[in-house]
Amino acid sequence: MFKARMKFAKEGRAKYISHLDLMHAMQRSMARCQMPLWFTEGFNQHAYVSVALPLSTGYSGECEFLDFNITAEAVPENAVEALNDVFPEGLRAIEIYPLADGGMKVGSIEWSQYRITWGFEDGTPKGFADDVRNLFRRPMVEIVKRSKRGEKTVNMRELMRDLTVTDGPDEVTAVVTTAAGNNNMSPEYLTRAIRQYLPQYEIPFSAYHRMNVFTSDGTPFR
Amino acid sequence: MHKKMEAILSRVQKPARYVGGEWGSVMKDKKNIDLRFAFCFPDTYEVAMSHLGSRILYGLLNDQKGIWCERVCAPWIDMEAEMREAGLPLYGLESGDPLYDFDIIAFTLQYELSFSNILNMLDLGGIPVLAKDRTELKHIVACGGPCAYNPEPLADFVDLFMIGDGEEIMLEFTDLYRKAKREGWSKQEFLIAAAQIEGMYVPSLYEVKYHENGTIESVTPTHGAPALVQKRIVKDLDTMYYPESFVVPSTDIVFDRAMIELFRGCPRGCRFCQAGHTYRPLRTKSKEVLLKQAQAVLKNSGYEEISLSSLSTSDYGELSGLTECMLDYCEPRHISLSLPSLRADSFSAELMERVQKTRKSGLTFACEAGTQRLRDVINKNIREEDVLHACEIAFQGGWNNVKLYFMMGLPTETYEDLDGISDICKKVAYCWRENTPNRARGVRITASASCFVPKPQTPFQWDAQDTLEQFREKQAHLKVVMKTKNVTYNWHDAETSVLEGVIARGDRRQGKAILLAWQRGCKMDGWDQCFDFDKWMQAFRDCGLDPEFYASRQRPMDEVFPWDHIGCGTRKEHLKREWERSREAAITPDCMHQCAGCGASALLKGGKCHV
Repeated sequence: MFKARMKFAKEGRAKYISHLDLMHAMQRSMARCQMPLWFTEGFNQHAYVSVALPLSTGYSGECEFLDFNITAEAVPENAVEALNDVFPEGLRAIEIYPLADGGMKVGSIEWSQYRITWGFEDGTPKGFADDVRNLFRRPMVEIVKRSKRGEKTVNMRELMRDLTVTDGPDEVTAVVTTAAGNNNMSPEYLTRAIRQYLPQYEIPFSAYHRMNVFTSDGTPFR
Repeated sequence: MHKKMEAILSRVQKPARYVGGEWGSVMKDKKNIDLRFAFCFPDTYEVAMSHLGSRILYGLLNDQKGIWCERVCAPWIDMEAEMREAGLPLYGLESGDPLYDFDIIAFTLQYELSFSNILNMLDLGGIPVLAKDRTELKHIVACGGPCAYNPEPLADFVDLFMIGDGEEIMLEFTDLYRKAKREGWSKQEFLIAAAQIEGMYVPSLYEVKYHENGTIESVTPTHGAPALVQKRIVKDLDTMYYPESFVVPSTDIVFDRAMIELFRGCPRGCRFCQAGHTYRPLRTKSKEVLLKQAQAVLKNSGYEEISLSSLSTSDYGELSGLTECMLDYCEPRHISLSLPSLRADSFSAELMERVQKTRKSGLTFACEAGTQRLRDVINKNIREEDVLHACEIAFQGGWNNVKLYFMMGLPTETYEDLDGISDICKKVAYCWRENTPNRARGVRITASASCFVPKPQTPFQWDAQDTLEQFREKQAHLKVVMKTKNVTYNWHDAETSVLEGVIARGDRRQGKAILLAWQRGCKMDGWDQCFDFDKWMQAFRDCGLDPEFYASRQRPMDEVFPWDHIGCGTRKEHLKREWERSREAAITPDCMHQCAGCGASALLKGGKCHV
């Protein structure tokens, strides 16, 4: 038996699958393509799978990771294709590989890169993109951040970097890297900050897509 | 997906149930489709997707070239409010296209309290709710399922009803519709022709006359429609269509597992049970076919649990051989097997051992009534000794979670019978103390008493249902006498059962009240947080209808019922005979021991019931 990791994408209709449901969907997909999965041996036996940094329901992502144990000697040939043949729409396996020495630890993830899309009913309001750029150029953007330990006012500029904003006719997209792991800041806080500091803009639609995850020194996690 | 829809989905509870895209859902190219079929379930996705019949018919229809069958479910309150606010119509889960794009809108009728959802779904889908307001061939609204055995309360809304097993009649119906569409028939031409299909009931082709006292004088067919619409049955379950795979929801549903159907019909003649009388005659599937279908479904779905489904699983002749073979397949694959609907009198240590091999869940026994006298009245041929014996085995085997089901308000019931419920619970608790290997672990005994609803096409169709006040007094009494330690008594407010009782034996005049109740906001009536009893009763009274006339009136034996022209296979004379025997507390043996002559075997046309 050895540990394996799958890099996968969760897009389209699949972005509404919640974390717990995603694990069931993964277990059932694996059963459909007869992946030699290791099962827990307790009272309630089940295939062991674990998702690194689960996405919020409604977010899409192309850099998701699922860890599981394989009872065979090696990852079955064509495992990626076999899974993609039996996945629900919107889930896509990208790569499956064994984890030598346990692989990179999920706890080492410190940054996530997101693409945020702000959409509008009747075209992008004039000046929106520039105002957003200027807002996040300020050294200090204070927001109230909620966590399990309660509410805290933080300077969100310290929890984000590398923001680029691209203007479009009906929507504006931003690519940004935000803190993950212990200091996690959801990209939704950017939308909240805009609503708070630039209240003149109405943002009817916002979508979030995770593009990449990194360790503290900027190495892509795998 | 529409941007507006995405924004809505980010705000509603459990959005995964609104997007489709699950494994096993069928996508087709609209270019090659000449019939778009909306398979609507008038309840939430979680309930809809748990229903085996819908899974079978979804597979059957999509197996046909040229037909695309999609699933449509009732959105939960928050989603509906958002959709109405944004002006988004109800849609098919597969294509996302609005309901008004479909040709046939079909609903399955599982439960009377989902009727208001039918109106609501049609309206949300941009389709007029009244049949007379839909004048084109497009948007034929069809219904089938258990509640179609009294279709009359829905006569104003539904164009046609399919009576009996859907597998049989469905393709004859879609073939005729496609012909009508090709040849440009009018809706009326189509309905008149459809009424000639055996098992098809077109309510608009029947004229109903009433006596002054409100009961029915006559039901007269017009345009050549048959005087009796006899249900359709699948004669051979082995060769019947069964899907190779199921839609596997990507979110949690009520019964989230694979299923195989052991048999259709039930050899027991419990007099309160509608399914027991309307699914006759008994037809079984062979062990070999079941194993093949179970393996295909498990392999293709990836489910980790499979249940053997039927009305009375322990009556399957080869149950022990079947479970043996099933376990041989399931155990190495970590698949668990569940056997619902086991009877207490057939519960054996051997069977328990097998089920236990995989996962140990709770055990449920349906006693139905508290005394032997009343169990004889309802022909539930089970004795207290059977229940206690089954519990003894279960407790010795280490089980410590037992549920007991009862009904209150059964015909001829007295307070002695209610005390009997409490007595049985006491004895079960005592049985646990005497038999458990480990008293320290404790025990959970749950007794549930539901309120009896007399159903059409059963021997109790003549009987008065208890009134709300009677139910409440009985519940209060049970609360007082159910004092045994370790026994939890569950009850449910009687209001839903009373409304169910009113509609179950209603006539077509009720359509006005159903329409009015829906217009005043009634929907999702099966859900406590939505149900508004007073609104419903007011709607009946405002339409000049007395709910008690339908529910709590003892009906004379010669009364013409609104559903008398719908045949369920079991003859009315048999039901009458059974009613008479019930008043003498005389039991009728099950079909395996002696044929009671119910008449259903005639549907097999020279064949014999599988007993």
